[in-house]
Amino acid sequence: MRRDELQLPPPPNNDRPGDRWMCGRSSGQTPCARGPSAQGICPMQQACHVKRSWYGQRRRALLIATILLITLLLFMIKSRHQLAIIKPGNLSNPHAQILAATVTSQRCAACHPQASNSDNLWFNASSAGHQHLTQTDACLDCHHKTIPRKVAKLAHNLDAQQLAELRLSRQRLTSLRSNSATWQDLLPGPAVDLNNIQCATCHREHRGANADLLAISDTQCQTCHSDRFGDFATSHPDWQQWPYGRGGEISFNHATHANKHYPATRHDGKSTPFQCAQCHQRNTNNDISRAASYQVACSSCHDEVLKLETAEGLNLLALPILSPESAARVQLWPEAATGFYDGTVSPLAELLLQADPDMAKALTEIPNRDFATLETPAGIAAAETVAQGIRQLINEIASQGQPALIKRSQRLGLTPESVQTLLRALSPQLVEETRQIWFPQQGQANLDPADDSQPETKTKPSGTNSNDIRSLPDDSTNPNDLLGPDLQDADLLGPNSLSGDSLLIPQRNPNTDPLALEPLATGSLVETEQTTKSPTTDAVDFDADSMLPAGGWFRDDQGLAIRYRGSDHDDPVLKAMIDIIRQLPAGEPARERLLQNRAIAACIECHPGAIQTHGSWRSRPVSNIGQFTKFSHASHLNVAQLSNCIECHRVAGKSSGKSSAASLLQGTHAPDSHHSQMDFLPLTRESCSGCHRPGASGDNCTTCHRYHIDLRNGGTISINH
Amino acid sequence: MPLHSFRQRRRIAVTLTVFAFFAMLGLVWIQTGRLADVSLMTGGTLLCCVLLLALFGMRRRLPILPLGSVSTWTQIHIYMGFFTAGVYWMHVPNLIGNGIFECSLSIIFLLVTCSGFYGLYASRTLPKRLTAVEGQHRFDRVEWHRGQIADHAKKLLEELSVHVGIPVLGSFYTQHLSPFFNSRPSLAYVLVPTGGRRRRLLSDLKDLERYLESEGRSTAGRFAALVRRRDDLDYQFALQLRLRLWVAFHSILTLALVAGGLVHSFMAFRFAG
Repeated sequence: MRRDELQLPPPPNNDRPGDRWMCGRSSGQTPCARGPSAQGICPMQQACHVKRSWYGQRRRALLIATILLITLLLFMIKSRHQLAIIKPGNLSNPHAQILAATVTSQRCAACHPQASNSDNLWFNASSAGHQHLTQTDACLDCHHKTIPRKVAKLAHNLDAQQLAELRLSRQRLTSLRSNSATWQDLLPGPAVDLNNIQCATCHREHRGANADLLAISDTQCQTCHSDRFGDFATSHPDWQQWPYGRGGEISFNHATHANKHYPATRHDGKSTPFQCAQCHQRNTNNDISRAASYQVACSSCHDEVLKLETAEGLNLLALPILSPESAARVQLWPEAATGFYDGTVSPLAELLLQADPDMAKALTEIPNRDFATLETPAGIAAAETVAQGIRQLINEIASQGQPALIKRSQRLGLTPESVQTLLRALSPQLVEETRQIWFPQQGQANLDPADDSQPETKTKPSGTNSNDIRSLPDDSTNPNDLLGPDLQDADLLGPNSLSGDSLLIPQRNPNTDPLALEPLATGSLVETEQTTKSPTTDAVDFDADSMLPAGGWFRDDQGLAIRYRGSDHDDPVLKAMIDIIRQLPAGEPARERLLQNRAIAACIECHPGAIQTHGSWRSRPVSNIGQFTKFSHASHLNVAQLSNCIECHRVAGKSSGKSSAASLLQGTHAPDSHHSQMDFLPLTRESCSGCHRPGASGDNCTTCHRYHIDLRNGGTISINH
Repeated sequence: MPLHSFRQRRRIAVTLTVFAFFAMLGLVWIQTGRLADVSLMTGGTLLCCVLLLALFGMRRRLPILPLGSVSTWTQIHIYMGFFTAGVYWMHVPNLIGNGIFECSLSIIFLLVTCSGFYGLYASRTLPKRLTAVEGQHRFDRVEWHRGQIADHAKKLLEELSVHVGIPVLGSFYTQHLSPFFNSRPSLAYVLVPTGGRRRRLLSDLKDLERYLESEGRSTAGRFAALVRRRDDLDYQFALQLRLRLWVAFHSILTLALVAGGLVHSFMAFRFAG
């Protein structure tokens, strides 16, 4: 029989599918027409057990689920296990360890100030207790030692002025145009305020225990930059001189040493090899030391010359030669320093005299501080004033000692430390003795300049320095005698530095003295005998070279000067002098003259940084902290190929293992005026891109560049770094 | 040309969905590059999508409002569901969150998504299977129909007057047909409705015919018709139950997802920055 031939009763037509309840009569019975009420009550007298319809069952399940859900959410919010329940992601290991070790409660509030608020403030942030605190402030509670709070939210931790300087100077590679326009240039600008960048903008937490908080893409790095580039090998701009030209404490020309000096220095007939490792050795950090010590690297060739240069020393002061009239007006001026106007005010004395405004004014009247150039009455008057000032300076040192000089230097704004180091070996007794010898009448006049009188006896003429013709006797006594009557008594050559010359040693012997045969001479030059105490006659010639090999202050009676003789390398007085020079304003005449001093110039030639930065004498490792570009030799030297320095650093003008300097310079990096000054060939981008590419060492921005620039240690943003 | 319009509609919808997905992906990439807080963007989009998807259930309950056809809403619901799954992939750092709450939320979302995908499959296949069997029975009346079939089978046996057939059919009814007509289908049958039970009973009834005379064979044929009708009824019941359970599961989890998503959003805004 077919199933459709089977006649079954049709279903009841009192169906109400939208109701929650349905008749509970047994399945074989016809449901009653009225059915249960909306509340599930059967209206029949013999009520059946009503049943839930599918709709009713679903509503009940929905209600139970809703109640269960609300209960769970409330439990989640109020539970003391909230930390385990609400956790958007595991903290990175460093932060998790710190929090686990130091924070027992309110762990979220350690980084999220909002978490310390009560729950009812969730929807009313303005009334929260910590409304002014941000998550970045919480970050800086721990990280303020590495990133200053003041600049933490600024782009690159640089203020607007520093960024503008970088931008205007166009020194940074990022401010230079790349090789070509890229599609990255079309991307929109940053979504953050560059003056209010939160830490979490780049450092995203809750990404798992092993997540890299420093991970950032190249696109993110460049979003603030005016020009953006693609991959390193093809799109990154060429750097111009990096890593060279960054300056440094020690000046050293690799090119001349490698190409000229080392080949010229022969041992056993062979040129000395120019080996990088001789000066640049691996240090304890497996990095490369910036330089070797002077004794190791330089002294073998430079010691002798340096000793000669530093032996020149410097003058504390020197008596200028005054004319007899001026000497008379000055009173008690040593006759040895009387003659034609001559001599210069030493730069150091000029500085000390400038502490007195009158002296400073008088000094300006003397061209180049050179008495030989005096022509005008005003200049002569100024010269006399300066001469009195020098004598006063000697008196002060002799009577008050070093404090007198320190006081004067303080008026000039010099730091006491440098002056004290300069004067450490200068004994007031030396100056006192000098005064007694140079100004004997003054001592007799109880140091009263008003009572100074002309020396009664003639002294042997003496110049102010070894190169000058010694002061001549007063020619005013006989206007017709150009040389004056005492010329025959004058020692025209002077003893000083030539005193050791065998030609001059017997000068006092008329039989051997060539000058004794001078036609103008009326008698023997040695006839003149000193009747009074004189610097040039009584003092025994002081040979500083032999007597002061370790350096020190001494009296030069030949030059009527108090001088310092430097020792060899690392002379503390010369270093202190250079530090004083550093403190002087540019353009100060005394500064310029001091820089021309041979001993000073010899120091600065190799230590140019000392004239700019205090204590910049020793070579220090290049700190990357304040620089945009970071580099470590340590990791690169692990590559066998790179262990050879010239693989990257090729001295200009010297053939490298693969290509000559000339050929390299004719390549992509043509030598320009700047490169020609470099002692290394430019390090090309291709040198790095061989390894730094995707799939190898990586070419992300952060591989070589850092975002946070710390200038707290006096660093400056240098070119291309 | 309904078939053509359906294909065209699906092509347009798929194109729009793919375009929206890649547009969102591009936007996320750009915003990530701009150092923007992409999580807030994707999270906000995700929440909006979930709320819009949940509105579909509300729309079905408000048929009188002129809010567009349910068919249109269904299409929007389906393709937005795909798009939402893509946005979720962009939003979450891990497929499953770390905290209990975030983990639960992730699981709920995944369950809703999976149930949605299953619903898409079920809505495409089950109606065909339902219409393939005769009869249309409302789900709440299935039990009444079962009772009617069982009662009719019992009456058939009582009306049997041929003495020869009574013991044969009576024994068979007692042992096999009565349990079949008077009990609900097994859970295994509800989960996987098959024709094995039906074929076995019909085969056994066929085997009895050689012991029956004509009246008895006629009664056996009626029993066979009842077996077929009961099996068709159980088949409809199983498929309808499956559809209804899916809808209930999907809607209840959607409710939980919306509630959890709102709490999650508030916390995200609260702790952002």
